[in-house]
Amino acid sequence: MATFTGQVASFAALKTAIETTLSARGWALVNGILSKGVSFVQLTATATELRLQTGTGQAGAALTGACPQLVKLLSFTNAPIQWPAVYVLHVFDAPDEIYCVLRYNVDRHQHLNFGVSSMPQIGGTGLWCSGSFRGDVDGTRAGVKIYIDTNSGTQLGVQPYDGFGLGFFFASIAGTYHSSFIHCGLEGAPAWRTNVGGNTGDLLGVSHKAGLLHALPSQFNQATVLLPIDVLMARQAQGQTIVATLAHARYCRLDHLDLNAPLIYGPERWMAYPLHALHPVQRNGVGWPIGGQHTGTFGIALREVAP
Amino acid sequence: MAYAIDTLVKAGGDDAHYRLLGAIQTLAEQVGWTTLRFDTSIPERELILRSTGTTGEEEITVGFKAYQNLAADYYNLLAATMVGYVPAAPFEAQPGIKSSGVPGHNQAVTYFLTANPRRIVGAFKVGSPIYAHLYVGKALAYARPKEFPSPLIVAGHFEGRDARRYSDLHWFPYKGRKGSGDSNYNDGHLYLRDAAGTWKKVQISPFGNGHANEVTYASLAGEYVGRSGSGNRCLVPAGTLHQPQPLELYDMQFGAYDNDVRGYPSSGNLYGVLDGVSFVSGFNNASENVLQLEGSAVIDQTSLSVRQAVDAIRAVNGRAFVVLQDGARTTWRDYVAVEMA
Repeated sequence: MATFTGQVASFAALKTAIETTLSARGWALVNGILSKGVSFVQLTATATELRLQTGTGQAGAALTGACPQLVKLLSFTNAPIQWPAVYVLHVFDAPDEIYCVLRYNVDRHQHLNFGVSSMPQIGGTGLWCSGSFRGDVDGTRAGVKIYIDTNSGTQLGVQPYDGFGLGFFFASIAGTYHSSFIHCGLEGAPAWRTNVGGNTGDLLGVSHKAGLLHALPSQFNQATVLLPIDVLMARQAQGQTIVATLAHARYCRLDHLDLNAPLIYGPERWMAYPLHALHPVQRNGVGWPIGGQHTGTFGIALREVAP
Repeated sequence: MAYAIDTLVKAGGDDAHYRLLGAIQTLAEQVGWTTLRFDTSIPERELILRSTGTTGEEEITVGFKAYQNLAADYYNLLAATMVGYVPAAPFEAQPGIKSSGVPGHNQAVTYFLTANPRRIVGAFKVGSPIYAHLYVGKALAYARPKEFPSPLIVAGHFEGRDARRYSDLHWFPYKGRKGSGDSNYNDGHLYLRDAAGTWKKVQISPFGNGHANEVTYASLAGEYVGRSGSGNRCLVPAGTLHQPQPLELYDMQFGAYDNDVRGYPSSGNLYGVLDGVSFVSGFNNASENVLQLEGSAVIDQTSLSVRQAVDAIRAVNGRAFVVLQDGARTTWRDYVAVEMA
């Protein structure tokens, strides 16, 4: 377990940095595919994207049991990445969880991450992945916007009709391009669960945390609380099951935090990042249909461990 | 740390609810609570206990008082948490007292209780049966110790010493504000004494998930009976292993709609979490099941009583959670698990 940081001038360089770092820490890199245990992950860099695809195995240079959807970092037309940019890699084993944060254009962030669920009895491999964008988002369109639904029925989450899915299972049940997936064997044969919605086998997003995330930071002490990221899946007969709880990432609110300093709780150190960009005034983000170029004060805390 | 699971019957002696006071005292004293008052000479017998908490530097004062009415056929305990103790003052006039009635019985009561120096929590099984819950003492605050040193809790089933019977309409305290869409739901009777010294009902996740004026929606312990849609679901286990969830105390309000951001401003507090009691799904589950987490061996509970199962699980360094329902209710969202530790 360790945290690594550096500067890169292209997505190709970031791909190399991730592969080099993981290769030195127990991951195999064979024919361009990173693997360890049940995890098989392929990175592909272009001038404007770093794509990540997960699978359940590999045959030569091809993934087998590949997830039908990809996740990616994207230099989109509305705000292209001004290289160089800074990356932070939070690397964990037992369970394997890899978080890549790319900070660019002063204060914008994108995320790409994957890991293995340690929840018993869920079937499948439990491999999950998420990224700021789904693989098929068209980044040439201007006006990639973030929609955060905060109004009806106290639901919460991003509504990615044409842009940011944000990752981290921070999904509302509205929108198309959600970008958090998991391989799970409940409600049918083991399969990649890529859909967010209300049908059996769909993922249910972050609405179950709406009340607590909207309550933070607490008024009585101005503090945030780090909330577990529970990946919730719809079961038959109005059931729902937590199929993963990320071991080293938490939801949080960024009001009153110094993002350059770790949060310290006894022996634990956490670094907080915006889901995309911090806006301290429009703190619940901007809803449909206008959207904004920020994620309010919704954030992610990643566990930090000295290299 | 201690727990007590047993059945008390009148059997020609004291009424069962009177005898409960003695059982609570015995349990609490095992973990360091001291008895400030135990008066059995009066019809409404009184027990007042104090603990110095897990730090040894705190002052936590709780009390139990029998209240009964032969004609109305109720035999209850009044659970109370106080901020101090004045020997000369009557029970109801203790400093900062807040209380809630817990339905009991004069003939027989089975109790499932656990205590540590911070709190006493558990439930009684009475009558038909129904399960009646209580929690007195402190919660665990999500704050630095000196920011919110005394997150006191009192929780039962009735508004103070309400003249009700176990068979009347009531709910366990853990659904909290807006945590149920049942008709006549009264927000339950769990009170938190906030940092400003005000006793108040709060919302409790995962039964509640909305804002101050909204019935629960899209929560882990959501309402699903007779409903459809992704916002009306309840937790079920992946396979056979249940996933107990913390009961977190919060309040949250939305402000006026802000057209500039197409949304609502929000504010609130996430105060902390209850200690020793968790939400657990009722799917494939029933009251008095004992859930085992951890331990060097999985205990075969065939033909074991609740008490025996808990003892056996703890003997292999496991954690034992006793599943208990909300009164007489038995849907998936009507259960909590009390960890016997």
